[in-house]
Amino acid sequence: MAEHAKRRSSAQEVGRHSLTQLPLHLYPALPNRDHARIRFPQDMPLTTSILSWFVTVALLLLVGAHASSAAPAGSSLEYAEFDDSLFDEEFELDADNDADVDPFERTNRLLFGFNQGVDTFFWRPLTSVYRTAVPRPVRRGLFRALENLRAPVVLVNQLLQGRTRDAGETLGSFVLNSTAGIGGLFDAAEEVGWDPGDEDFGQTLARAGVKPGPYIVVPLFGPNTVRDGVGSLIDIAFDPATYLLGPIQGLFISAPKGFAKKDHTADSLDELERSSVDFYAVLRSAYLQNRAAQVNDDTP
Amino acid sequence: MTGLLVMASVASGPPSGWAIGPAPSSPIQVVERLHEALITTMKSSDELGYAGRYAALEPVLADSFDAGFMSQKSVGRHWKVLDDSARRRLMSAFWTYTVANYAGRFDGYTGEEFVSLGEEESSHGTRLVRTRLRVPEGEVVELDYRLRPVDGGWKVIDMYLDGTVSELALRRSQYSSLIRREGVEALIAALEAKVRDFAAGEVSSD
Repeated sequence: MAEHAKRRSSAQEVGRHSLTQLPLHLYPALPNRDHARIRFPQDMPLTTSILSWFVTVALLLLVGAHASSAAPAGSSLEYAEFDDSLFDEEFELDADNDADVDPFERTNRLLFGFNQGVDTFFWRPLTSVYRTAVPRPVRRGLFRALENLRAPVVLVNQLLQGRTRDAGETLGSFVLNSTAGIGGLFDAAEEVGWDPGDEDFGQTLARAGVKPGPYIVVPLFGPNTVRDGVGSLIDIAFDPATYLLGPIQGLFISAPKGFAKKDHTADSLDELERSSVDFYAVLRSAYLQNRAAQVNDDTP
Repeated sequence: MTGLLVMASVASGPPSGWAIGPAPSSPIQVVERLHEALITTMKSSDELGYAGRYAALEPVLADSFDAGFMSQKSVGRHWKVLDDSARRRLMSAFWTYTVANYAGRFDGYTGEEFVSLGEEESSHGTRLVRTRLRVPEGEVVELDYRLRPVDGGWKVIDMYLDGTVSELALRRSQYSSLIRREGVEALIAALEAKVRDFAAGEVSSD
């Protein structure tokens, strides 16, 4: 019976928001062209795989450090067309070959195992204490408030993408939620029908035609692609908190952010894990589908 | 109601129920019949228990899903190299897992409600049925179904959670990865183990 209650509450928390936060979406429906079509050997030796992973991440950090104002050219945006790969013979024979999407699979799996360990021994116990101590409405409020703080980053990216209308809604939502919504604890903007938006620099890059590149699992941060990894680094530069707060004070914001997100997505992830036979593969697919959908959904 | 009728009329196991069964009507009707059966089962989930829910849902699912197509697509290119026996056992494991997944997870009713929003054309002659699952005091989950024409009727070949996460793609990612690394027998064993987990979950929660 306790199981029932748990599942019920988990069903309630699996909302639209939590799902878009996390991993989930239709990747194979798009990807043939949306991918760097570099062929990597399927059974790369582990040392080579680890080495390539490090080189990729090092490049990623390098690019992130230098490319701070890479605004996309407004006119030459190229969108991946919806391509139904389910029925595409070529896709079946070729592109669901994991080596295309996930050339560093062996290293990624090791890092995924590490992240899962951190999850089990650190995040889970913490989340369970948090859930016992703080009632659900309060937790939801806190999550919203921290999400509200993302507005500046979302806004910058919308402007870079030339989406002034959406930017207006984001700004309006931010102002409304921060005031009437008491610092974002309540979603006042929803009442008015405004969408706070969900853009990041990874999506901005995608709209400028940048391919996602290989899938990488980043220690402590989880699923990513090279493009979106660079994107998140640049988003740090768009966040006023980066300049307003020192690194230590910044931790006081980013740690709760990560934590509230963990708490918010834990149930959907548990559900996904319970029904999966290969959690690594399911999360990879879900993450890539989700990103592809975020990039493609918001074609203006 | 229709769901109940369908449940009563088809009582066969998966492989025989796949291709035959009463030819259903429009895509949206197929999906609504499935939803009705799910709600009916959820409402009486405690009396039914896991085994009861499994028995009640299996015929409706067999009628709504194109399980042969789905199990084939779920292993991607590996399908071509499997022999007949492996294909049959894989299809059977895929199907049992699919039903067990429903029977294990739709285990209570707290006022959930499915709403169909309509259907639209999709590629390759398929149709998309858009629905929402409303959970009281929770948020709304977008759930879309993709159907293809089979024997004069329509059958579900994929579901999109949140409107975009393809269930079939999630499965293919896992299954082809598992086959590539450990072989098809490992996949079949893993699916069977999951089915046992779903059944056992029920035992421990009662």
